[in-house]
Amino acid sequence: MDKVMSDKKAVVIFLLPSFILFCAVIIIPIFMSAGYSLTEWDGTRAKVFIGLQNYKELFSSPVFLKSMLNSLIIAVASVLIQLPLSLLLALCIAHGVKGEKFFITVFFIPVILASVVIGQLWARIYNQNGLLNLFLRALGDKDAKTAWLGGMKTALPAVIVPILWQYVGYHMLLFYSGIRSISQDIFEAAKIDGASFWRTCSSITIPLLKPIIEVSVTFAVVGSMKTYDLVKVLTNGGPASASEVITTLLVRTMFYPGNRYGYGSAMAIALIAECFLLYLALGRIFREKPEKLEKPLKDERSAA
Amino acid sequence: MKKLSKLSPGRAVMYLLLSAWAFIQLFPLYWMFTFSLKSNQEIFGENPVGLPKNWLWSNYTNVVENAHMLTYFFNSVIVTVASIAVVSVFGMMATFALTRMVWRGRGAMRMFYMLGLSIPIHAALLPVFIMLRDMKLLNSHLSLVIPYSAFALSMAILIFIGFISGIPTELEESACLDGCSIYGIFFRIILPLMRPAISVVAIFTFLQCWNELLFASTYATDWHYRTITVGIMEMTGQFRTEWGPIGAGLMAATLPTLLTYVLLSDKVRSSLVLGAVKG
Amino acid sequence: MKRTKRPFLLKLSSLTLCAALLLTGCGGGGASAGSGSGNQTASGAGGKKTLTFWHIWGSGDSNSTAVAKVIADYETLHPDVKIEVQTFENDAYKTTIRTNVSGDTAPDIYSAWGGGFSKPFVDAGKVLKLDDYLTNEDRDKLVSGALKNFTYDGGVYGLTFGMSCSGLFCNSELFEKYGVPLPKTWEELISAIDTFKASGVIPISTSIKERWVIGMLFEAIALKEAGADQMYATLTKNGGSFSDPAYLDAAKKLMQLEEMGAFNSDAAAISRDEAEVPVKQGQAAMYYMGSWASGSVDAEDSVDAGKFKFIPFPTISGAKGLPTEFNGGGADGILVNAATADPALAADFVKYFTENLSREDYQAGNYLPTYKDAQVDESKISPTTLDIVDATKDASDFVLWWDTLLEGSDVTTYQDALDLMIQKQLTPEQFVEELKKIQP
Repeated sequence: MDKVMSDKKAVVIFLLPSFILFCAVIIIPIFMSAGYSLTEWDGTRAKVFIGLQNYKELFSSPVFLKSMLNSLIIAVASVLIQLPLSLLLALCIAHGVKGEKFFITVFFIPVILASVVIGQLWARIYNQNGLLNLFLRALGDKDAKTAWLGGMKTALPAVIVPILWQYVGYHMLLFYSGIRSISQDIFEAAKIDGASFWRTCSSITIPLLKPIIEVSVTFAVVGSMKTYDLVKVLTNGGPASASEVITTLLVRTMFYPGNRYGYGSAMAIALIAECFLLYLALGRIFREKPEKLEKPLKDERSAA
Repeated sequence: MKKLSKLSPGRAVMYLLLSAWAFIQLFPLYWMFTFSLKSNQEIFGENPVGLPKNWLWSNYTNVVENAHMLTYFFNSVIVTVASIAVVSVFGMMATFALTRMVWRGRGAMRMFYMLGLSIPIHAALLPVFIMLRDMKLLNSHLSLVIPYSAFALSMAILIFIGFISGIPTELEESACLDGCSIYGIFFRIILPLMRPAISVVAIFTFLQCWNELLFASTYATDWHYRTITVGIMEMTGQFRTEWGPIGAGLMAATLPTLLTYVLLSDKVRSSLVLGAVKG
Repeated sequence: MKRTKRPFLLKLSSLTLCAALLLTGCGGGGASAGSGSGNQTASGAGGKKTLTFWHIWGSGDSNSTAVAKVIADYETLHPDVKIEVQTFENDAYKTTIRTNVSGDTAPDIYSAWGGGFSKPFVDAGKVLKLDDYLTNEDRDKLVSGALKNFTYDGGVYGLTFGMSCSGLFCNSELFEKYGVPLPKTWEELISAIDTFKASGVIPISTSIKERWVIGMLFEAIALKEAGADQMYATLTKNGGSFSDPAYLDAAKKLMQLEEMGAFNSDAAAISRDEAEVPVKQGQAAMYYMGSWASGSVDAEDSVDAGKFKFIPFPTISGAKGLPTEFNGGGADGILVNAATADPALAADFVKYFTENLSREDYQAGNYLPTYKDAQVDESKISPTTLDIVDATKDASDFVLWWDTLLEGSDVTTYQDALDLMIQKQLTPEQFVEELKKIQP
């Protein structure tokens, strides 16, 4: 059989389409961007080679550093706020509740909505006369008319909320499926032993979910780095870059009004590097534990 | 009655939490629906939160007539479906080579494809733009299908690899003994068994493509090819401060996906569960 | 072997065929879209000559009816010519047109902005120089200064159809109600703001989120401080400098307004359109905006329609700016692609288009005319527009808004710094330091 399976020509044929697409859209652009990042270029006139000057400017630019910080803040918020909430919801549903299907369906709805729709909707919620202020007025604060997206201190948190709101359902579904794949025998055994809901969760469910938690954390972190749509629609990075993320800054600089293709490319390279480093770092953090836990799961399965 | 007596405080809290969150997820959508049917006076003055007093369906006709929403919607559908097709075909083929075929460098190639997961799509914006421009492919469906498929490949391959590892090799071994060629194995054995994988990949790819704003607004500016995400931005610029028509436009963009999702929710749910486990 | 080969081949070919169909089906649109390039005056049905024309005045824009009418009129006068129009949304267009011009896929004719916006196109040789197509008669028809922002290195590269300037729209109802005179000097402005603030009226409605709106106000103050000549020389990097103390004074005055609460509380969160809402509901006393806003403030849904007075920005005593100097000018223009197949035809259309649109737009109150003797029915023009004409008839100079006059990255430097200063992250001194990076 190996002879059939090692037909070199077939390997090439099967790999070629995806390989070409991948290289053309992902690999080659990285090199192109790297090339542009060493120039000063407005897209229309000739390129001017300036070496690493763009990078020097980038890393001493307060706006860029702020945007990197904001992206990281969003990543941290995703992991520390969104994931625990998703996990909690998944635990509740998997535990067995009436209307399980209903809840899962509803929780996933924001995920399938276009981010721009969510952005436009939340922009109106945050309006001076929008839902949030109406709600606060109903609670007693008659004067509630803050423009949440316009305050230096409130803009970033205001932007983070819809980002989290949208993807809670996504992570919840990941966790839910992870829980569902754990053999029921373990839960039965725990019940017989008299373990409470919380005990079961903390000692059994969560440890066994580690692989899924890793995946969730990775997606949440890398996803936060790529956030664009919601921020663009809500604040476009304002006011005064209070809610600026790397992607909004990139578009502003590269296309309109900045028109600096060279400098923008340096930013793009910086973004790629940051995502890649984070991805590796997360991989390293998670590498210590998995082996030990995967074994019991397999054993239980084969026993059951 | 039995259920009630079993309702311990713990379970009550659980239901409370779930219901509260369900409310938080649904209320904004309800609000969008209601203000899409109101006049600005109602929204800003008399009746911000309740059901509309006068159901202004004219908001909807206004948007459909003036804002090309249907064209944009179809463009999004075309681009998304095409991307799903490309990703499925290319990804499946690559997965087969990466997992079942035997050759050196297989592991390295797998890691190579996984690079796509960590690279943000926005970083490719300018170079791909220049490539498409030079190939005269801008302002076409292809200008979006190409980048979308490329970036969805890594995820698709990841999912396919997860699924294919669940297919036992015995089938292929016996097919080989029967004299089946490698292409035969791919088409007659693996492909049919991977159908559930394709629906998972379809859903994940859909999520990536449907929502996408940046590339869509840069590459497909001709209104014949605009997607719904760009259309929404344009519509809000056109209708400025009239929340009613804007809400109608948002609803028009959302309703089809929402209905499809709710109708297929069972299938979607089970696919995703399956995908998450295997992936 | 035999059994499996045939069905396999069938499957492989059908799969490839499907994929190919799918892809070409989607890409088919690309081929036709590519015909947006300027090198075609392809003959359509019946040997007609075609000109492709891109602009931003699609449905929903105040200009759209006038534009459509002028184009239709031209086609009636020249039955052998077809104008293929494509419209775009304003903001998206700024990027679209740039990328298309640099990629040589621009149409025969397109709308663009003057000053620093189109300069890269001209420098790269992509724009047709129009001097050869402008006779002395043509030039005489134009109002003086009409082509100022489309003249590069002595050559004319675009024609304009309308001028606008920014000024202060004052709700005379509110001014009379609170006994406030229309401000002619800075001191009067400050006292007006104080009175309105105390009476619960928004003194000046503006948008900080859309930086060009607050930018206009800053530039008005700067113009009154520095004077038109100095400012123009600085912005075109032709002998001026931001070290001139006028700019620091202007920055400080802007912050004075911000700190005394002259602006609406949600200015940083709302768009320009949303900032117009209080103006139209009679809750804001003043609105500093381009003259095109006269259409909006006089619209049916404006509570005090017809009661707005348009006045130039108040002067500052001791400073160099004159009351006859305005921000603005001919900012919107039409350019011709240097690679167009029939330059004479294109130039002819552009001349017709701008001259006639100038008249239509003036009639509709959208712009001030750039062609003299525009025959319009003055009785049908809104009083606010007539006001504007009156206010500007003795104008001595126009300086284009900074976000158009400056080039790309300079605009970002300026706007970012302005944003930071307004949000109190930069002092006025630091703001000026940032400006000096543009022109020391």
